Amino acid sequence: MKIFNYLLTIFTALFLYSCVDNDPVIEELPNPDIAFNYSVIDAEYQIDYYVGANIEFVSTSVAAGECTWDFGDGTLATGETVTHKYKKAGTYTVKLTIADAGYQSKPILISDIKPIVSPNKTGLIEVISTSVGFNVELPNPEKLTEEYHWIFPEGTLDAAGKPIATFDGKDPGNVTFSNVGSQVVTLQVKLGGRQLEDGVIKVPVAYNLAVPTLYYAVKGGNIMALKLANNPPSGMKINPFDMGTKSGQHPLNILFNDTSLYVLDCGRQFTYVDDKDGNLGDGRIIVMSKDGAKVETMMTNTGAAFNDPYYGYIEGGQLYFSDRNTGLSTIGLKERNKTLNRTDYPYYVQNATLGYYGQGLSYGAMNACFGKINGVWYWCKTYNGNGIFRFTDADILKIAITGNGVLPTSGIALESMTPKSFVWDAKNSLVYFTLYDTGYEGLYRCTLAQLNEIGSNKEKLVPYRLKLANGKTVTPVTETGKGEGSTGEFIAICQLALDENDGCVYFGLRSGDAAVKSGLMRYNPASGFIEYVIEGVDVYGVAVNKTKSKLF
Amino acid sequence: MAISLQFIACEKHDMMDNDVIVGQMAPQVYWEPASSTVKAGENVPFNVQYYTTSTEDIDHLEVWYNIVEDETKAVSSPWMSTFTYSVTSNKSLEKRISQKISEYAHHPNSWNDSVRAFMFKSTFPTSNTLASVTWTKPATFDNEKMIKYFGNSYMTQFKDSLFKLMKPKDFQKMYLGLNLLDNFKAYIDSVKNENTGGWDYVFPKDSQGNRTTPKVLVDIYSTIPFSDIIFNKTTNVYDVDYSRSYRINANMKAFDKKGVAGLGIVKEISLN
Repeated sequence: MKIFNYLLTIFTALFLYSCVDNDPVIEELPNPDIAFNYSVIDAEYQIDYYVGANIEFVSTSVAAGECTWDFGDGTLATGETVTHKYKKAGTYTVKLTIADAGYQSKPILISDIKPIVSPNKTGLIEVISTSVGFNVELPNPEKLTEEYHWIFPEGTLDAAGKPIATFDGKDPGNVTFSNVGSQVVTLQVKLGGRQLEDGVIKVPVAYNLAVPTLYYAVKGGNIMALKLANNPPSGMKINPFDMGTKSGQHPLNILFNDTSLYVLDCGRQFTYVDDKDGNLGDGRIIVMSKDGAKVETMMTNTGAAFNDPYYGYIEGGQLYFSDRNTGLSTIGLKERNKTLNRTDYPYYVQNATLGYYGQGLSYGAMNACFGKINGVWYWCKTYNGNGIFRFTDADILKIAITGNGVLPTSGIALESMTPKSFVWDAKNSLVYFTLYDTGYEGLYRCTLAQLNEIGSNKEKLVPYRLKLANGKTVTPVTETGKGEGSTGEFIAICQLALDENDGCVYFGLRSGDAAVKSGLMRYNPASGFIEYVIEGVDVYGVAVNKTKSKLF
Repeated sequence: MAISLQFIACEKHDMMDNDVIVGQMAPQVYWEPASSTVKAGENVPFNVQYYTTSTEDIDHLEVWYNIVEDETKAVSSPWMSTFTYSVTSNKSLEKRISQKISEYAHHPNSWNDSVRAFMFKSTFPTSNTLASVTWTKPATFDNEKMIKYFGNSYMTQFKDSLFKLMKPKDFQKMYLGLNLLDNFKAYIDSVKNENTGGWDYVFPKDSQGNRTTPKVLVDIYSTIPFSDIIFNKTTNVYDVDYSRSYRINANMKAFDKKGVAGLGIVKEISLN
């Protein structure tokens, strides 16, 4: 019995001791019966929430009681409706507490006054020839002293034609720009001695000749555009235009058609994931007008991550888009705001609806770029069946098979290799393609007959491998952990774009060779070499608008 | 027992009550902004169709939106040879609650027989203050911007955290690269790694026999400006990236004369 008592005492002590650590922390949660809203009640700048604006806070609570407001800047007020002015810009948390009921808190963003700059000229602003001035709007309700400091980009000339880098004063007069692209003009203002947020304007300066436009998607940045001006006048720089549209997570392919750019973004999760619930998809296709003024959503995927749109091809009013590793579907070019589902957007072709299935193509064969050459589909595969699988529409089976199908007569090109992208130069009857097979990485160019001749023999690739002027080839990052993705799914050179006018082929390189910098590059048939277009930029998809224009 | 549990559950999670106002016939709204990306400060064009099946006439329509900020920060030091040091952060936060932005009168003569709804086109405003900000790999370092975008203590914390991770080869690369020392030999030893068969680089032993960072190196480190720590000598830029952009979640509300509102679908619009 004594032993029992001792044990009981020990267990009780242990129990109580453990209870000390596990006491629940009582958290005061917001009360849903307490609610409020706020708005600027001044006659002007009601949506701007400037420093000094009169903001009215109104309790819309169900709960009754005395209202106490904490504005998050160290000041308090009481009453169901109160007004408050913030003295500094920033994000504050406003908390409304109702006696004996609880609280509710919400954020409020207070913006600093900033100068608003716009060009005083509408229409095309052409390099060298167009003279343009600037309108400035500065909210200054307290009539404080204003000090202006302008910063102009390289190549800006004042009204007298002299270089101008900076100007102090409200009106710098008219200027002209010597370089093409987004010319960033910055206006710094001190209001009452206090430095405000910079006013920035990106002036779109057009080329003085009509030339094609290259679009490219920057990693973590925006869609950019570049005028493809060969041999511009000495001293004139052809800089890119920032189109103001986000590239998205992984825009592996972008496609230009008519007056629009179609951006296929396969979303955050483009590599393998065990998407058990089939809801990790966040890819989408957006449509940007050629000047960036309008962006629409064509399709979004909220289902399985593997269904996100990865690669695309446009023909006959249809956009064909691939998923990660099963097949291709189509959507009309005029469709907008659609949600991907397999009822409305069934597979046009799948791995298992081709005779290659089980005879070269396996389940989940990884997709890469695809398109048509002379009426034959070329479908790049980089895992579980490597090569370019060729077929005609007539080869597509109505029902999925498990094997033993009739092999398409077009056959497999680059069998057992990792072709990631290709482009067809119809005018010169040449196909350009990229590989990331170890030791054979790079960009290649050959005729279709030569492509067939290569077969699965990598040694036969050698004569067609393209080089920089220094003799180097282009090697994309394929080291796991350094680039993006792993075996079969590396970003590599994920798209090629042809300028039909001069035969140049453009692409983005994430270089895996320390001796070759990453960047936007091109193969120039005139020089016979791969050349840098823009060094140091990480690029996904590329596309060319072959219609010539001075701007877009 | 089961029934009472069900009632308790319903009291806390009444999905019907969360999603609809039972017993009110609200106007139906379908609307479409013209673009999902607009320049901050510009008006957003839209078209709207609406109708009601209730006996109450429609009174007016309102556009409401909230503001969400997306902020990314990345800073790295290119001097490290034994590891990559990069500090990044991505945040998306609601910065202003949904509120009424603009109001549109209902015009009975806007009825369109072909769509069997009232319809019109108009715009709603956005604020210039919500323009996106980017500061990417600048060629000149701006201390004020660094503090403004990253906070007061960021530079000190970055330097301190990096110091704790640096190996002798990292100090060597940084100090020689920044011309802080002519010769690093006095501060580095190599010892045979029996496991790999290669050589490891270590600090020389001090008088206590410990291989700690020599005081000379510590003292020099404290004098290095933060900007030099993140300067990329290969590209001649500072390895700092900051971007801030805003998007709005906009919705159209159609109110009848009793104040009952029907809502459209929320549209996300990015500002640049």
